[in-house]
Amino acid sequence: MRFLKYTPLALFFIVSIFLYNKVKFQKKLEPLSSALIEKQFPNLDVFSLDNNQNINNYIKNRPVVINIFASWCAPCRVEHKVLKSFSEDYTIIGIAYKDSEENIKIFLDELGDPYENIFYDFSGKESINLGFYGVPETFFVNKESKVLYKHVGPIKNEEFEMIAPMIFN
Amino acid sequence: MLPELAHIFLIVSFLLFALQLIISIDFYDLKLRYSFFEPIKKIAFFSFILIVFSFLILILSYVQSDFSLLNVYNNSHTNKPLIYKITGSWGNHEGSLLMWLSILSIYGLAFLSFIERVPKEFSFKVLFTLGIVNIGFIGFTIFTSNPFLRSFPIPDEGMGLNPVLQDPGLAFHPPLLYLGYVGLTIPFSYSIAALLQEEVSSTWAKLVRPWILTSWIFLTLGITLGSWWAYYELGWGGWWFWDPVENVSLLPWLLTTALLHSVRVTEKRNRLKSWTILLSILSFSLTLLGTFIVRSGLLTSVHAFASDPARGIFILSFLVLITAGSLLLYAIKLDKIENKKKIYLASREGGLLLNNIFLCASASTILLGTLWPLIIEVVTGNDISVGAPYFKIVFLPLIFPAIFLCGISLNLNWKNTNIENIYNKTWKFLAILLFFISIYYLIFGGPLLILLGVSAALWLFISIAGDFLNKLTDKSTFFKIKFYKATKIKLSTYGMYIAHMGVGIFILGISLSEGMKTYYEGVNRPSSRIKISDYSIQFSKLEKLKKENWVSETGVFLVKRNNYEFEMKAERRVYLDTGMPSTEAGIKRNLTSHLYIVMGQEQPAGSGKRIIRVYYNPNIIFIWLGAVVMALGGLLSLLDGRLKGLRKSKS
Repeated sequence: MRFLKYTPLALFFIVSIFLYNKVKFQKKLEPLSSALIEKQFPNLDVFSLDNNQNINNYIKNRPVVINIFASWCAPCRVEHKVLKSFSEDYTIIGIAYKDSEENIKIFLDELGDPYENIFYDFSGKESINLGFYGVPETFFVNKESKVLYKHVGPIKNEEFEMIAPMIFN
Repeated sequence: MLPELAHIFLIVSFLLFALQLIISIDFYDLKLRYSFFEPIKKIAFFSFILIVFSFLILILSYVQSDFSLLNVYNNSHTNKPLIYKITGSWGNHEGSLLMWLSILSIYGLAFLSFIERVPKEFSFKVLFTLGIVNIGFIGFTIFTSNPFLRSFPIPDEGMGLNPVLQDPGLAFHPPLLYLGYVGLTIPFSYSIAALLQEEVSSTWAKLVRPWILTSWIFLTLGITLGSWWAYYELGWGGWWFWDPVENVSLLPWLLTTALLHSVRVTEKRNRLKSWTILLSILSFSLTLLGTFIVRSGLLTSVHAFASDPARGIFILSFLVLITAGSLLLYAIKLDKIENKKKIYLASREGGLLLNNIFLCASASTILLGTLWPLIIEVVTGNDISVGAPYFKIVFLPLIFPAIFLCGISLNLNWKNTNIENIYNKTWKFLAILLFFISIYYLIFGGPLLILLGVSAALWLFISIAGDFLNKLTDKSTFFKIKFYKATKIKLSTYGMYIAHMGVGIFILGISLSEGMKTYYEGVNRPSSRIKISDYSIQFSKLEKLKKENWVSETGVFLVKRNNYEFEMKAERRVYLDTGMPSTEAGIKRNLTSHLYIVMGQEQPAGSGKRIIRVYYNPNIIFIWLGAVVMALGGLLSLLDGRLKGLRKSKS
C-alpha cells in the first residue's frame, strides 16, 4: 500500500516513454518539393495539340519553366500575371491539367498567354508521375532536363525572380 | 519597430519570471523567502502586462498586414475582411501560443487582484508555481515558435488564411477554449501551493472552487462552440468525431467536471483531499499533453498545426518536468494531507465519489483510445486508428448507470442518509419515470436506444424536481411559504439543478437526433428530385459568383414539406489567395431540427452531375443547448460566491 501513491507517477512515466519514442523517431515528413529535385524530369505522355509533340522531346537541351495549370483553377488566375511578366525572359511551358482545349483558349484569351507551348494532360493521370500535389505547380528545369526546384501553389514575383535564374547554370 | 518591441517584451518577461524564481528561494537553506513577497508581486504584475501588450502588438501587425513578419505573411492576406485579419493572429501555431500566454497573464492579473483574500505565504507559493509555468511557455514561444520573426525581402502579399478558419467561429472557439485550458493553471498552482503548505482545508477548497468553475464554464462553452462550428462549417454532418484533438479537449473537461464535484466534498466534508489535489494536477497535465499532441503533429487531426520535432521535444520536456515534479511532490506529501476519514456510500459525498469514478473511468478509456495508435506504432511500427465505434462502445455502457446514480445522489444529504428513505424515493421516482416513458412510447414509439436516452433525461429531471420539492416541503401548505422557501434556496443550488438539467437536455438531444436522423447520398444533375423523411428536395439550378477573395458555385434547392415550400442554397467556395476549396452547407433550421445539404464538385467536369448529400438531423439543437445550459448553471454557481462576497463586504 505504501507504494500505491507512486502509481500516478509510474503510469505517467510509461506514457512519456512512448511519447518520447514517437517524437524522437517520428517519420520525417519530406518537404513537398524534394521528391524530384536533382532528378531527371520524368517521361510524360502529354502532347501538344499543334504538331503532336511529346513534352520530353520538346524541352530537350533547353532550360525551361514548366507550369501545371487549369482554367478551372482559381489560384492559377492569381498566378497568371506573374508568369506573364516573366514570359519574355524565360521559356514557360504549360501543362493543362484535366482541361479542354476550348476552355484553355477562353482562359488565355481573357488573361493573356505566357506559354510558349501547352501540353495536355486530359485525364490528369500523367501528372501523377510528377508527384503532382495540386494546381498550380511550377517546375524549374535546366538544360539537361534536371528538375532544380519545384514550387507548389501560386508562385509569387519575388520567388520566381529568385529561383528562375538557376536554370541557366 | 513595434514587433521588435513586442519581442523584447517577451524576453524581458521571461527574464523577470526567472528573476522571480531565483529570488523566491533562499539557496542557503533551501527555503522560500517570504520577505520578497512585495517585489515579487510587482514583478509578476509587470511581466503579465508586458505579455498582454506583446500579443496586442501582434494583432496590430495583422491588422496592418505587415508582411515583413513571417507569421503575418504565412497566415494573412490584404483582401481579407478586418475581422479575419484579427482572428488570423490566433489561427496559427505561433500566434495561438502567444494568445495562450496572454490569457495566462490575464488569469495572473485576476489572481493578483484577489490576492488580499488569500493568506500571504500561500499566495507566495501560488505565484511561485505560476512563475514556473510562465517560464516554460514563454521559453517555448521565444525559442521554438517566435511569432515576431522578420522575413526579407518583404512580400507584397500574404499567403492567406486557411479557408476553414475564415469564419466567425474562429473569433470565439479558440479564445473560449484557451480561457478554459489556461484557467486550469490556477487550480493547479493552488494545489501545488497546498502540497508545499502541507495543508488542504475546506477554506482552501472554498478559495479554489471559483477558479475551477470559471475554467469549467469556458471549457464547456469552448468545446460546444467547436462542435457547433465543425457541424456548421466543416460540413461533415456530425457534431463529434472522436478526433484526437477533440478528445484531448474532452479529457480535461471530464477531469475538471470530476474535480468540481470532488472539491465540493473537500469543502463540505473535509474528505477526498488528496484525490482533489491529484485531479487538479492531472487535469492541468492533460492540457499540457493536449498542447503537446496538437503542436508536435504526433496525431493526425483536423487541428494539425505544422509539425516540428523541436517543438515536440521542448513541450514534452516541459510536460515531464511539470507533471513528474508535481506527482512526485504529491506522493511525498500525500500522508501529510490525507486524513483517511471514511465515506458512507449512502450520502451526497458517496454519490459524488461514484460520479468521480464514472468520470475518471471515461477519461481513462478516452485517453487509452487516443494514445493507442501511438503506442501500437511505437511497439509494432503499424499505423492504426481508433475511431468512433470504440469510443461509442466503451462510453455508452458507462453512461446509463452513472445517470441513474446521479439522480439518486441529487436527493441525498451530506454525511449520511436514511437508507429506507432512499429506497422509498427511488421507487417513487421510478414509478413516475415509468408513467412518463409509457406515455412517450404510446405517442412516439421508437427504438430501444431512444427510449433509454429519453428515460435517462427524464430520470434526471424527475430527480431534480424531487429534490427541489423536498426542499420546499413544509407542514403548512400555504403557497406563499413555499415560495418564500424557494427564494431561500441558495443560488448555487439552483446552478447545480440547471447544470444537471443541461446534462439531461444534452442526453435527450443525442438520443433523439442519433436515433431519428436520416441520410441520403447520390449523384444528381439539376432538376432531379430527392426524397428524405417528410421532405422532397429538387436540385433546381446552379449559380456562379465572384467576390473579392473567393469564387463560388451555389446549388439552389427547392424543398417541399407537406404544403410548405422554401429554397435552400449549398455552396462551394474556392479562395483565390490559397486556392483551397471550402464547402458551405445549406442548413435549414426550424426550432429544433436541421435539414442539411452539401453539394460536391462537378464530377466529371462538364457533365453537370454532382454528388449531393442530404442529412436530416432532428432535435440536434438540444445537444448544444444542453451544453450551454450546463455552462449557465455553472455561471449561476459562480455568481453565488460573488454575491456572498459582496454581502459580506457590505456588512
